Amino acid sequence: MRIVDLEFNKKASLIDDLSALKVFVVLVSSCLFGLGSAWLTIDLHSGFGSVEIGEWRTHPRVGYYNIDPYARAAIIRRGEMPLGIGEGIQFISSRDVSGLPLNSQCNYRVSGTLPIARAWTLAVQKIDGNLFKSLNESNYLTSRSIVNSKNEIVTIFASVDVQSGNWLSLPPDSAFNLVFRFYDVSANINSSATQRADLPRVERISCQHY
Amino acid sequence: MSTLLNLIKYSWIKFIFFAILISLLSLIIHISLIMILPFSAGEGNINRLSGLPSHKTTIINTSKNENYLPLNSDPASVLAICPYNLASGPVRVIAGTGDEILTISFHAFDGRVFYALSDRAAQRNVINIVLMTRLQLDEALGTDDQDDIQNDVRILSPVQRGLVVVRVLALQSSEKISAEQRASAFHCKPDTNALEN
Repeated sequence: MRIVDLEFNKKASLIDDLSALKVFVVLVSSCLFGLGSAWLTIDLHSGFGSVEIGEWRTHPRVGYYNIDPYARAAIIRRGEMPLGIGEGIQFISSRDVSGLPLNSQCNYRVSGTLPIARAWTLAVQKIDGNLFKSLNESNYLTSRSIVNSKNEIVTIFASVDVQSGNWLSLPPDSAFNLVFRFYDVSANINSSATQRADLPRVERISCQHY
Repeated sequence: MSTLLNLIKYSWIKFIFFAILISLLSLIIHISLIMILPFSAGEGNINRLSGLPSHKTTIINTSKNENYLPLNSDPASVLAICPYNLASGPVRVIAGTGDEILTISFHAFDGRVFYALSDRAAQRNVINIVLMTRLQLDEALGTDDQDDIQNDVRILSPVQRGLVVVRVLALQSSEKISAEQRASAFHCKPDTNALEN
């Protein structure tokens, strides 16, 4: 009878029902959803306006002052110091052309046309963005160290074992990212037309254990 | 039966009320965190670079001051970082250029880049920039002699404290030492004379 009385008591408001327990549940749930969604957004999302070209992704606006708040929070949390728009642009790949994650148990060929830039570098990095210290200087190639490139077309082999030609050393048994950085790029890549940029494809040639 | 229906209906209203309340509070917490994060200190935050001495150049690469190396740094580049503070006046940034590619970017401590340029902007192999706040720029413009040709490149800093970051590319291993020397030669120092041109 008490329940019925309560339900039909028009003076009883929803606020009256907010007992201490309900307030606690509401606050804890809100904190969990709010913090969790912010954490996921920052960790998994590189910010609005990120662009994917094949298996490469970039965020052209990260070098501007009016960067979106999510991308700003992400670079701050990760401790990055992005290239300014007048310096160049960076592309990261964590997958090969078939969509499989990059792993040093496999050998890869990075080949194709490069955007017009004054200089470029291609580096192997850990998934978290740190460098592989064990690789010393063989973990990157540059536009000046490359051989047999014509008309901005390159072919680079990435593997644990030494290869002839343009070889990028991979760490043993590890997932990794490839990072292209283009310095003093032409206007067509460092603008809203980034989507039309040409970038090399990352093809898996063979694998040891797969 | 009607009592039971009313009870179910009321429960749904309560559920929707709490769902909206939780969503609103979650949204407020979510947005607050995204906005506050750039200003909070943390291990991976470039705020730790504020601990470096102001107006002094610190070389950072894989062999020097590696703990300050930002994430996603180019292993082919040498970084030179100079924290600046415009409280005591404008700051003059001078970098010499050479065979190695050199770029300069200006960062706020909240992660934003407010200006960047490459050595193509150099005049007679030197990049000479004066960083100013809005007030300092207005003062400098007020004292400018209309007949004098200004050689300073003035950049308006939207923040009083920030970082000047010089990147020198060593595209070949043999260029590492010269790139480091080039980066070491860069400096940023307060220059009150920049207001009196």
